[in-house]
Amino acid sequence: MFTQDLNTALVMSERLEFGMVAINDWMPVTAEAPFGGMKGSGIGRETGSEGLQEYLEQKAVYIGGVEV
Amino acid sequence: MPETDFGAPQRRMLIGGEWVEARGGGTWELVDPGSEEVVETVPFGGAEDVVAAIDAAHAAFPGWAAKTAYERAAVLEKAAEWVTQRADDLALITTRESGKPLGDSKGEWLSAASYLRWFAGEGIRAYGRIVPPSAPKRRIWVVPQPIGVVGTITAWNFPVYNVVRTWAAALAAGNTVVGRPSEYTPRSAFLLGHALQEAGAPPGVINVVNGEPEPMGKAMLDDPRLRKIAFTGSVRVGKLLMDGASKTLTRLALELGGNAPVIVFPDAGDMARVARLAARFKVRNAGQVCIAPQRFLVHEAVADEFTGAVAQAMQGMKVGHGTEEGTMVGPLINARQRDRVEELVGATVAAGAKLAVGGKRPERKGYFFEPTVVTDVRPGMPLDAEEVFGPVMPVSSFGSVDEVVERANAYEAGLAAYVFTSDLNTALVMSERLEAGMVAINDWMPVTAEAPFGGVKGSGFGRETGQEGLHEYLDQKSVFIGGVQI
Repeated sequence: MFTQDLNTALVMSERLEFGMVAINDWMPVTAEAPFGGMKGSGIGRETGSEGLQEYLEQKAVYIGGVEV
Repeated sequence: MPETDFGAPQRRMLIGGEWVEARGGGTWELVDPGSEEVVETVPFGGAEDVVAAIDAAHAAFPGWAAKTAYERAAVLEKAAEWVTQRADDLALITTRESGKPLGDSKGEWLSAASYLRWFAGEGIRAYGRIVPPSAPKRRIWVVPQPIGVVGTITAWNFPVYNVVRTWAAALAAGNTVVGRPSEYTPRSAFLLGHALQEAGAPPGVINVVNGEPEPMGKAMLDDPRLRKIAFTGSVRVGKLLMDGASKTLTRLALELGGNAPVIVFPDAGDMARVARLAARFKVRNAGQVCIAPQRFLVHEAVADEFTGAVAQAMQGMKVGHGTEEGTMVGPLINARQRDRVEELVGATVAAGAKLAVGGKRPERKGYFFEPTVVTDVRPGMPLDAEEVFGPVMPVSSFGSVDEVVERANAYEAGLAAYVFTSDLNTALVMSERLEAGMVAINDWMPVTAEAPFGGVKGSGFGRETGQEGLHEYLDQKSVFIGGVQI
């Protein structure tokens, strides 16, 4: 989307149903930001810190009976 | 014990703010599993009811998503208050559809309040982030946004908890919900919907339908407006949902079964106490718990002591209707479930294991099964390989850490695992090597609003509760802004 109007930029960035919204920008892809789609474009994110988390599982470790 | 009558909200479906019958006129007789008596007739719908609920949820979504997180939190907080004030009346209704002891039902409603409150707070803190860009004249934001209409399909074992942990998270994040509880326990879900409506949730934000599982699940999968399904239930149904999800690329969070190992080391401390608690948590909800302590693997140095103490504790458990004073073990949900438990015990004993306690149905009305201990259980026997979902404790012994880790990780289930030890190194090594979403060390209840809950391997994917549980219901949007002049 190409605009210099602040409100237009914010409203459009919120209302567009896309994983990446580029404002005055032609290359919304880079190692440090998450990349991936909404709706029919798929599931999951590559790159960015989310892109690393895609390949990790969370394990919750509970330790009970701790005497303080 | 007479029930407090909540009127239509305990016997109708909730669609678009209205309490309605099934569009096709179908009904279902709800049976109290502790007495086999019909306690209520509720609507039993199908695909058309789900579509109507999606219509309502889809229409309500933009308005709910546009509210501030603080406005949504206020609704959840009020619902928590509503539930807390009526916990005794709500508990009786839950007990008479699920069979669980009244105290457990009340505890479930009070925990529902805690989940509503926790997600009210967490929704307020659904932060995005700003990414330092690697290129000049550019800004990058990552903003979490609600997904849209979320469907929930939940199991009967926790009629309130299974429902609230998904609804509270989805609603706090700004989504709208179509809930499909188990047909065995719909009243608890209807009443949770009622609590949210009374707390000010606008019509259509929360919808609750009851009916035929397969057409309802299919209607959710087929409708592209319904973007995600959170499912709690069996591996079999979870896989069917995953097959069906390809049609409209429905996102899924699947909480499937478990088969939790419980590993007791000789340095676990007072063995009589460990055994007493083991028995108590084994029979919680008559063993119908996806994180139920299941495969007891006890070090050979303490196996006899543990088995003797646990057999004594299990023998003394009071079996009874959930409303009877002092009941520790209620019925199973239905005859089919009770028969399955009986078959698993029979097949394991036939394969060479020994029955130490129980093993039978008591002589009384209701779908009861005696608290049971089976010893000398070897790898691969039915009670080792399969989730029993009953008040049955299979026990076997082990010698080394490597041996017990191999046994613990042998199956596809990977939800919870329990370890009892006072040794730091054993605790750390086991917590790392066990293939489970939750590892409990000297702890019997690895489930709480503030920590993530969910499985690895065949136990599913996605996380409920905790920070992760909120983010299950948010999509990440990367916003790139170029050409910034400084």
